[in-house]
This record gives sequence, C-alpha cells and structure tokens, in this order.
Amino acid sequence: MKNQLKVENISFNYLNKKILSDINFEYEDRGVIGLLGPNGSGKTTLMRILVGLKTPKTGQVLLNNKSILNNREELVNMVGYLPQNFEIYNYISGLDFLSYVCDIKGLNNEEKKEKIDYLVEKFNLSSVIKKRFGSYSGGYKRRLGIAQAMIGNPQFIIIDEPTVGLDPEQRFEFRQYLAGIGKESIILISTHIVEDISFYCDKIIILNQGKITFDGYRDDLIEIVDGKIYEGIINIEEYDKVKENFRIIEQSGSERGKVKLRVICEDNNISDGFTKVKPSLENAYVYFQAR
Amino acid sequence: MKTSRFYFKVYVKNIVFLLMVIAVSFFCYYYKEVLEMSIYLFTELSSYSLYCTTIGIMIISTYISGNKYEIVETIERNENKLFLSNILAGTKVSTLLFAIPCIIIFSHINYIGVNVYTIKEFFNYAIIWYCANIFAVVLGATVGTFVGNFLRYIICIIIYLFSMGSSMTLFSPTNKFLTIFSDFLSIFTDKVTAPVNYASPILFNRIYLLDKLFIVFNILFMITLVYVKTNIKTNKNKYRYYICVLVVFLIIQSSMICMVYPLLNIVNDPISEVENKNIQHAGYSIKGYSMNIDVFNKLNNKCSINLTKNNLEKNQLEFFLSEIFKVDKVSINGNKAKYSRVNDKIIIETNNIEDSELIVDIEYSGKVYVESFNRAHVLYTSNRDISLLDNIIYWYPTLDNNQKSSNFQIDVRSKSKVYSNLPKVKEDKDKSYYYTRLKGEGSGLNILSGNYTTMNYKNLEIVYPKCISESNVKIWVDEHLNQDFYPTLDISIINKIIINSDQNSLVIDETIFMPII
Repeated sequence: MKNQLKVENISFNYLNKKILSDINFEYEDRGVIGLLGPNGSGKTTLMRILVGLKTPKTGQVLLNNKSILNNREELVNMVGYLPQNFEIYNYISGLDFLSYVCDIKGLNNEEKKEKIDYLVEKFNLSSVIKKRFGSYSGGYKRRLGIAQAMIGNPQFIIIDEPTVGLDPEQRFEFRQYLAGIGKESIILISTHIVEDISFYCDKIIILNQGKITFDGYRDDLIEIVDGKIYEGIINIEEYDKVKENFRIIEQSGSERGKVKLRVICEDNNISDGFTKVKPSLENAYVYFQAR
Repeated sequence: MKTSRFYFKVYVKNIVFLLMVIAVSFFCYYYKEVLEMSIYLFTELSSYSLYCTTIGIMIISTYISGNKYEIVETIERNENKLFLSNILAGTKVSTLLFAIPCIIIFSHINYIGVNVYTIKEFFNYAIIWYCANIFAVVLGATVGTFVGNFLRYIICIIIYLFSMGSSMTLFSPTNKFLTIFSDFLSIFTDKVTAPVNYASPILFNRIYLLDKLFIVFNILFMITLVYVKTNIKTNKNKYRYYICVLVVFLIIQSSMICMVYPLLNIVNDPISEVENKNIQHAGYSIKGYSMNIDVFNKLNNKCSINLTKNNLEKNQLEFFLSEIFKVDKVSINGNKAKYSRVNDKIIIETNNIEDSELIVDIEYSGKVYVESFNRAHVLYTSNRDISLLDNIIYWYPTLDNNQKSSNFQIDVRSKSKVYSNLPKVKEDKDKSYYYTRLKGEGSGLNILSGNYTTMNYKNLEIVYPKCISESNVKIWVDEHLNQDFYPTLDISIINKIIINSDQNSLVIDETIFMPII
C-alpha cells in the first residue's frame, strides 16, 4: 500500500498574526519532499502542525487518510520527527534515549535491542551511544536525532533544518543518511539551505510569508526559471548599474577589477556580455523568493 | 508505565542524586548508635537525611518537568502521562534511597529487643519517608508543569519551606487552629523534631492518620491541577475547574483540621508553673481516693473522693479536673449533686450537707491526648500505651497540685500491663484485659503503660523502657542516683525509679521519675 500525506487548508495564527494561510499539498509513496523558505516563513510552525504539536486554526493533516490531530497516540509509530533543536536531558546517554523511544513506540525487549543495534551501526553511533548526551558534538546529536526518528519504522519522517550547525563533512554524511532513508519512507525536510534540497529531494515546496509559492518537482521549478537567468562578467564600475536594472542572484569574484554575476531577466532585454545559462536549483529558489 | 524507566535514569544519573546518596548515608550512619535503643529516636535524629532527599528529589523532579523538550512532547503526546511517569520515577528513586537507612537500621537494631514497637516505629519511618518524598516529587513536577523557566526552582523551595511546618520556625502559629494547620502542612510531621517518646511512642492514632491523609490530599490536589491543565482545552473551562478543585480541596482540608481540633490538646506549662487559680478549698481536704479506671482509647473513671469537711465557707466544693473530660455524673453521699464547669474546674453544690465526711463520686470520661509546648507526646491513653502523669493536666479530680498525701485505692482495667508510683497489690490477667489494683499513700497518682519492663537493683524497683539494655540502666542509675543530682532528697527513702522519656526529673514520695537523656 502506498503511503499518502495530505495537507488540507492549513491556517495558523499567533497573537492575531497570520503565520500560515491556506496550505495545501499532497504526496504519495516514498521519497523526500523539500520544504524551502527563508527564516520566518512559517516552516517550523508547519512542521509542528504536521507532527501534532500545534493545532491549526483551520484545516487538517491526513496520513493514510487518518487525521494526525485526532489520532495522535495511534499515529505515534507512523511518524518520526527530528526537531530543529534536538535536545534531551544532558545527563542521560543516547542509549537511554533510544530505549525510551522504543518503549513509547511499543517495541518489546527483543525488538528494542535489535532496532537499537541496527540504528547504532547505521548511524555510526557506537563510540558515543553510552556517553552523556551533553557531551555529544552537533553531528552526533543530529545522528542520534535521526536514529530516534526512525524507531518504529515510521512511514512519514519530518526533519526540521537537518544540517544546521553541522560542519561540511558532517553535512555530507548526514545528507547521505537522509537519501538512504528516503528510499523507505516519505520524508519532509524543512530547510533554508538549498544545497540540502538539491542533494536528495524529488519534490519541492517553497513557502514564503506563510503561503506556498511553489509546489512541484525539482525539474519543474528549474524549468519555470529556465531562459530567465543570465550570466556575465562585468567591470566592477558597472556593478551598480546592473544592480539597478536587474536582480542579482549569484555573485563571485573573477579577474582583478571584474565580477561574475548571475541575474534574472524576464524580457531578454539585457546588455551585452550576459549570456543565457541553465539555472541551478538555488537560482530558481531565489527567483521564487524575489517574485 | 514503561516511560518511568527513562525518568528513573534521568533521576539517578543526575549529580543531585549522588549528593543525596552521600547525605543520606552520612546522616543515617552518623546516628546509627541510637538504633540500639529505638528506630523512633533514629527517625528524629537522622531527619536531616529526609530533608536532603526531599529537597534533592524535588529539584530533579522540577528539572524534569520544567524542561519541555520538543522531541519528548512529540513522541509522548500525553502531558499528564509524562507528569505521572515523573512521579512514578521519583517514587522509585525514593525507594532506592530508602534502602540506605533500611540497611543501617537492619544492621544496627538490637534484635533481642525487637517487638511490636520496633515494627511500628519502622513503619512510621517508612510512612514519613514516603509521604515526604512523594510530596516533594509531586510538588516539583507540578510547579515544573506550570512554570517552565528558572523561577520554578524558587517557587518550589518557597512552597517546600511552608511544607516543613512550624518545626522549622518559618512561622509560629498563634493559636490551636494554626498549630494544627502548620502540623498538617508539615510533610515530615512535627514529631521528627519533637523530643522523642521512645518508651511508648504513641503512633498511628487518629491524629496521625488525619495528618498523613492531609498530605495525601495535598498530593492529590496537585495531581488534579495538572490533570486540569493538561486535559481541559479551553482557558475558560480550565479556570472553572481550578476554582472547583480549590474549593473542594479547601473543604476537605478544613474538615480534617476541624476533626483533629477536639482531639489534640497542647499544654504550654506544666501544672507546677501554673499561676494560683484561687480555688476555694480552705474548708475541706481529701482523705482518700477510690477509683475504677478503664483505660483504652478512651479513659473512663469512676472516682470516689473521701472528703473531710472542716469549715466550709460556701455551699460548694471545687476541684480541678481538665476540661478535656466530659463529666457524666456527680453525687455526694450517694445523692445526685448539681455541678458546673469553668475551664479546668468543676464546682459542685453541697446543698447544706451537715456531715463532716463526704463521699463525692465523679464519673467522667474522655480521650486523652496531650502534647507539650515542644510537641512531645506527654499524656495519652490508647489500647496499648498509657501515660497519665499528674503534673501535666488534672486527669483526676484534685484540689491542687501541691495537695498533701492521700490514700489511694485504684482499680485499673487495661489491655496492657500498667506501672505506677503507687504499689501494685494485685495484678490479674484474662484473655483480653489486665486488672491491676494500686494501693497506698501518696501525694499523686501516675500511671504508665507501654514498652516498659521492670528489674530489681539495689533494693530498688526500676521500671524502664525495654529498648534500653539492663546493663545500661544499671550504669545509668549508679551514675545518677546520688546527692549531686538530687541535693535536697533523702535518697534512702526511694524505693522505685521509673525511667521514661519525660524531659524533667520528678520525685513523688518514694518514686523518682527520671529522664534518660
């Protein structure tokens, strides 16, 4: 049976301020959905609604046609969650915590041992698993976090800002873990780092100021922007003029006194020296943010 | 609840737990010697261990409850379940820590002297331990549920200080109602700081039961508050429920205080220090007493006073008799007489009786439970334990505390063996009762029963608590029965020593009441 996640008309207010309005999306089967958006766009609130931590003003979240809000206890095994700030009591060990999650998710002692052994090996936690959580590095905390999210074989895993606070090596490693998990379940990843998404996401949702501005596949997103992105190398004196006329979406140093730019131009009316290029996912994301 | 296993680990892996283990071990070990005598005494002296565990457990419980981790809230949706898991884990930790005093108790008590008192005292220790610790856990968890920031620790400590009762002198109650209230608030019971009556600790009476019930209701109150917070969705309904719970709680708690009010009596001064009450007894004196006393949970006394009348100025007789007793019948020379009560006095009309000798019969009854100003049990009756000392309250009709010697013939029916300053002339026992006759001349009547035994030493009859070894009693008597301790007393006339846990030494005729500590 295919897993199905359906989000219908979700709105959420906080102190009379609209945080989310009319959020709708749907996803079936396995794979990774990337929820992109700048800080303050409502990503974390949406995540918390999806795991049942917050109650929306309107709308509902259906997982395999069961409302998450009305079946919290029943669905605890179906949903895994790794919050942005994954913290637990500093004095306890990772093993204690995994054991606790296993208990809550109803695993018996045999299953518990088997699952923990598997996760410890899969996420390479054996060197720290018996140590105090307070002594873990950021990377180990995220690994333990994703390990606990996978207990109970959830069909739906939600991860908020998976690579925040990780060094480049840890990011790479963590992305590989997530790509692997995405072959087994639906994973929803919220991030403002486009690189995360480009690594493993099939579907992308862009959230801006509490509204969905894009909901589709990666190639669709790039296709929309295709033909609107130009790249050129200009003299540094011309920079202000270009900035005045175009939206710069990427910039890097070039030869001395020159700068390499990528700009958005929707009407082909661009100066010499700029050529049309195939947009990257990041270019497409920035394009949507700028709209 | 499987999740309590996790919280149990949070408790025991916390540094505070280690400190608790060290503190409990230290205080229990430090006072281990007194276990030779009494667990009750050990309970009092090692009470610091109890303070340490309750504070420690409360702090960890607050820490657990107040740290609201997103991941924990996600996987365990039921906040009330988390709260209860925390309490259960705290109770387990309390049990784990209880092993320390248990080990010390069982390795140091005097097994030869183990009897029903030892078992009662141990249960008392366990009850105080669990009541205090569970209260502390629930308090910490409740405050942590309501207040998430650092302020929760301060709030907990403030409430905790009030829960220590007046024994910790945070506030001094000014009247009996407030005294009972502060006693009830005390999670340890004030008895852990009062001088210990190890001779016959009066435990598990109605006051004790209500005191513990009060703590249980405090615990239930906090649990209910958290239940309302976590299960009632709208704020409007929440406040309604909070008010309802508070009202019900106040009604229950006040009812309990009112139930105890008539049972508890506190004397601030011994009789000898009471000011002259100006009793009008110039025209008569007591020649002798004859009493039939039934002492169980209630005292019933049919007291017959043989009175010699000289020049009765008024047509009335006045006796002291504590107001805790209800007078059932008064008669003079077999005829029913009118009487009135004014505080500790009973005033009987004589109706111009011309006889020079009067027999005044007074029948009265009442529950006796009196504590001293420092909250020690001093006067009480129960099925097993009796302490009827005549220098605390007027427990039998008398003219004053300095009355001259009278003849006593006292028949006592009790469920346990009695001891007195008067000679025992007869003692019978059937299946249920002891029948004891005390007869002799004396200036007062004192009756004791409880964990006592007797021995003869140097022509002295010594009545002493069973928890003290015979050899220690002999050493102690040798050291203390001399002119240094009793400079004005002719020691050669003494024929009986009663060692009890009263604070002061008292000499009545040929008997010395000696405190051992």
